[in-house]
Amino acid sequence: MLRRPEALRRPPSPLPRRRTELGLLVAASLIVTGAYVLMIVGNTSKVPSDVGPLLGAMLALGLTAHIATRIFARDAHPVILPVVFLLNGLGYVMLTRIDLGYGHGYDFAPLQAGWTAFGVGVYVVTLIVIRRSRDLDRYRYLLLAVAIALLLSPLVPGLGVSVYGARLWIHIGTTEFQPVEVAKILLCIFFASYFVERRELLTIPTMRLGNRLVVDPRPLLPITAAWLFAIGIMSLEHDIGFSALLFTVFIALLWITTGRTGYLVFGLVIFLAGAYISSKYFGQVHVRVETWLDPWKTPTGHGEQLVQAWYALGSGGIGGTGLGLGQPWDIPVVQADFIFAAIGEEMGLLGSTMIVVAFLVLVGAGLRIAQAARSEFAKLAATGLTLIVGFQAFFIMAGILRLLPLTGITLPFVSYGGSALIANYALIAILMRISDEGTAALEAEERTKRMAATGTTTVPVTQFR
Amino acid sequence: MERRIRLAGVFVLLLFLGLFIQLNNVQVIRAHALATSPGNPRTVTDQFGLPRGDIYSADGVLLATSVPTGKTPYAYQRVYPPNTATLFAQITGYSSILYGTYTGVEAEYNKYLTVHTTPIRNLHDLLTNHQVVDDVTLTIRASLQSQVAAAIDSVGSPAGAVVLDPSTGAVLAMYATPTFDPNPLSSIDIPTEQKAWAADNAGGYTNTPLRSNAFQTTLAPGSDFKVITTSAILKGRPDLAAKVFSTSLVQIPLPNSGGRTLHNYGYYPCGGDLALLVAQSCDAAFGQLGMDLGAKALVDEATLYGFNRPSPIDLPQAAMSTIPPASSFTNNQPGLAYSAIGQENVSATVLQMAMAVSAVANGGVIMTPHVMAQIRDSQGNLVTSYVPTPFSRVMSAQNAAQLSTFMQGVVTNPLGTAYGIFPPAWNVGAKTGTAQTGHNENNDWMVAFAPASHPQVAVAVAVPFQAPGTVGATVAGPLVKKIIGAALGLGG
Repeated sequence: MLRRPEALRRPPSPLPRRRTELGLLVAASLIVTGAYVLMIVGNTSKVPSDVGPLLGAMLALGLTAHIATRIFARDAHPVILPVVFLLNGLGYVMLTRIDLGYGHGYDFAPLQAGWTAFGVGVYVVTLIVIRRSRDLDRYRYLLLAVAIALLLSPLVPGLGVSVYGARLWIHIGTTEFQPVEVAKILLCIFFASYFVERRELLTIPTMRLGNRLVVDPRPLLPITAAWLFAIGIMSLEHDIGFSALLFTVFIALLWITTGRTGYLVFGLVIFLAGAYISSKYFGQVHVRVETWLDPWKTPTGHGEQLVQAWYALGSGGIGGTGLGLGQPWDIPVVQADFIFAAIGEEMGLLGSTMIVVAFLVLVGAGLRIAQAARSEFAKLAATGLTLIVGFQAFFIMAGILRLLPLTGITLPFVSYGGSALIANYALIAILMRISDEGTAALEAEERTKRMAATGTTTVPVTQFR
Repeated sequence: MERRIRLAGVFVLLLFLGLFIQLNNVQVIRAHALATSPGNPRTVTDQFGLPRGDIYSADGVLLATSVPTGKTPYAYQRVYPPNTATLFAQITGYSSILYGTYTGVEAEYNKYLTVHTTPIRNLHDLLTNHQVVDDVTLTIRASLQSQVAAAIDSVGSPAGAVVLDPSTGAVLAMYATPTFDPNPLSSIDIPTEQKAWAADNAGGYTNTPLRSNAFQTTLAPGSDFKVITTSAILKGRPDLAAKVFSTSLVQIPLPNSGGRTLHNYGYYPCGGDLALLVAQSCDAAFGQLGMDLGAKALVDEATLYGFNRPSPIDLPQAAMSTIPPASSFTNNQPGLAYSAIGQENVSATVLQMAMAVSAVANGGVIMTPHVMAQIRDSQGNLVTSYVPTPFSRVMSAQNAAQLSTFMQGVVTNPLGTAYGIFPPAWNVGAKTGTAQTGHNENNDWMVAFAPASHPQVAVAVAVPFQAPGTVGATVAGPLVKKIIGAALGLGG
């Protein structure tokens, strides 16, 4: 008797993964709404009137992302979206709190809400447009070109703007946009694609040097050129944060592709050399290193942000001052790079640790996706994108905690900033796409094995995708 | 590749573990130091976000209290009740968010007034909330303070008065003009505070009501200083104490001065024995006695009385009374003569002169002046009380008795400068002072104690910047009379 193989059909919805995601999204919405109520009560001693609308908006955005995932990436990892929503929501609560603290005329929170809605839209569109991760692999040089154009755009006169000494923004209409946030994703995908293609050349020693065989450095030339170009542009734009971030991810991907520790050593050496040279010859880097070593030398000058951030963190202690009850406005530009310190003040060690753990969960999920991915390219791209989020969060948190010099990048999903939110939602969408492919393939494989064991006819897995 | 991805994950995990450890370092181990660091702006907010203890006068009048505002972060407003606000402003101080936070008693006893943790003494303490504020009671009675204020206010220009209990050092009244309202300076409304600060400082450094003319500014003490000169003579120079001057002495020549002389006030002749010299406040004779005594003896005596030493009163920013070092008089005998009569470079607070006269009234011992009587917790239990302590033994009881007799002579001798001011029954001992300053103005002074048999009050009054021709007896004398009358319940 010949039966139509069940493996060819996807299991009927609703899928357990998406059910988990929905439950967690509702939980995240409730946590954020609860935090919002506590914050408003703490700050004004009144229960806010807009609790309903806030919860509604959170659930609506969550449902939009959820339904899009259900349709376009239904086997994707269930934890990523809820964690992102939790971080984004808590960031919104803190921004509302900072608006209240600054007084009239500040509207970081409403703007951030708008960008969040836009970001969720970008998430959905990314899922729709990128139907297969290998599409990204195919267009890698186009992505590189776009990335370089984006990186160059702030240097175009009339388009670029300098903010806090860094020429990282461009004007589009009335809004400012930070192109490097998008460029980081494109460059990461390009690295992954290129490394996978040249994997053998990068790994196997083929060149004779004296009586030893070494890896032929020639395949590295174009990518090193591309990388140097990117770093060069960013130093022209006086940005350290993203240069350091991209360099770290670049070296990490090279090592993960090839397994040659030499690359790590090489990367570390030129990184330290670069850091040493730039701290000696570039004023901004020098100042950052000085304030990192002792911010208390200039408590009202360059060291003010760090000093005030530490005062805030210390005043928060273990349990925090309570939401709405601290004074985060004493930290300059707290809404952007230093929002982590505001969270640490009002929610204490418990709150700051929660943020650290949330990013750890995100990184864990991302790397799990990478391991389950179907192609080498997808593995490497997922790893790179995950490391971007992980290292970006680490760099800014470590900068605030003075484990590293301050690099001036935003805390993903939490800090105020439209371009960062949009870029990070797109990044998450690509991760979800890779996850969906990997899990679907894995489950299909398992079902095939199960059926093979019971004597059912099998079809090669790749056929149905 | 899978293995290396996992290793990358472990690496990120270690980095985040580092974050967690450093978070514990900042938010737990170093949290207290950071939270209470003087640079942390939250320390100011904390102080003004919590209630403070009350300040009471000795007769139970509420002088300062905290009232909830219902606002954040400054949840409490310090309020000085309007009846006593200006009366006690220079003693209670203010609590300003912008300008140096606390002054006066608010600063001196801040550790009791501010929210603090009491030590755990028993099981009950362990189980109850021991975050408390304590109330401070002053030695000053509001009733006497207001009578003193009425007298000082009647001058219409800057003046100051200090009334001490000579046997304990307790400040019974201390008031000076100009004074100020501490309420707007303590406002949680920043513009109100800035406006009050600007107004209070409009007069510049020398004429701000924020500094009390009773203990935070100094003046040439004039002939009041002869109390200290006489004390030095009685102590070490029986020959000078026995010296009798011609009663027609008008002036003395000043050595190495190119023929200058030191003459009596208005060129009136005076002289006789030491008692009569004190009674008449004979400038020429005291100038000569000062030169005979020598700079070291005079400066040492003044130092014993509290000159050139930080003021011992339990209030911040009390001014130091000064006399130049003995060495500076080596080539300046005229300066020594003038210093012996309280002019030239001698400068004293009203409080310092009250301390000087309290030595005479208290058998030669100056008790440490203080405004705090006791501190009680919110249940009324005594936390601490001021234990009277001697500040300085300046002369023997015998000498004090003799000097007391001399000062009674100032009041009772028909030739005395304060003769006829006080009813004889009050038994007052006094010394007048009229310092002619270089600005063609007189500082009119009087120090006094009463009753001489068992002194209950030591009083000093200064009225600076008076017209030339006014004297301590006529300007300060009536004020002292009102004050002693009020303090002893004898009426004006």
